[in-house]
Amino acid sequence: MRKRSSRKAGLEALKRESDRALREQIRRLLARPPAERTHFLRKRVGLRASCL
Amino acid sequence: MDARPILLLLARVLAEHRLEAILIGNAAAALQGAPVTTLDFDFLFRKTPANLRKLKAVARALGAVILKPYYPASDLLRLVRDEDSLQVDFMARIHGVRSLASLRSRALRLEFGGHELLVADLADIIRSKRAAGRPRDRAVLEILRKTLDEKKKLEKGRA
Repeated sequence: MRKRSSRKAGLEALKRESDRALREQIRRLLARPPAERTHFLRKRVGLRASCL
Repeated sequence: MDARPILLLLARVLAEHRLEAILIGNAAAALQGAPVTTLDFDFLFRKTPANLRKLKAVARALGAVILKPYYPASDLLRLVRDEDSLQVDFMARIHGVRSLASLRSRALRLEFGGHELLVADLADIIRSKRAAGRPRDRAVLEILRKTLDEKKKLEKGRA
């Protein structure tokens, strides 16, 4: 039982960590003027792939 | 890849041909701080005979061709430029948005090279993606919701 709860706690922490990183990335983008938030275009490479 | 040169070009060409169109989709969301990427630019416009003439002129100015939709009822017109795979979609209707006028009333007006580009409000983009419900729309919804949340917090902090 203890093992399961520590796994659950670990996964919860991982989820929170991922959310924190995403929000930080968003805050960094929001700190820039809209005209500088332009690195979002992916380019097609070959038939199936794409890259930034 | 930096979309700025293409945004400058689109803002200029749309202004020169007086074609009113509102940028929607992931490109519009990214300009509002959402960490999302896209392969194309999506616009909502009013499909009138005059606007279709303007769209043809826009395609010519971009060096692109207009592809006819596979499903004509979709009202999707796709501008494609082969040399750099530029793809710009013009839609007459999208999920979750009742009218162009309502979208325009809330749209942001961003300046690119002295020309105004209408960009749909993030809340409208979220509404549209939620209504469309395609897997690729659902995949970015959480990111867009968090961006809107952070944007509101920032605005509240400034007020």
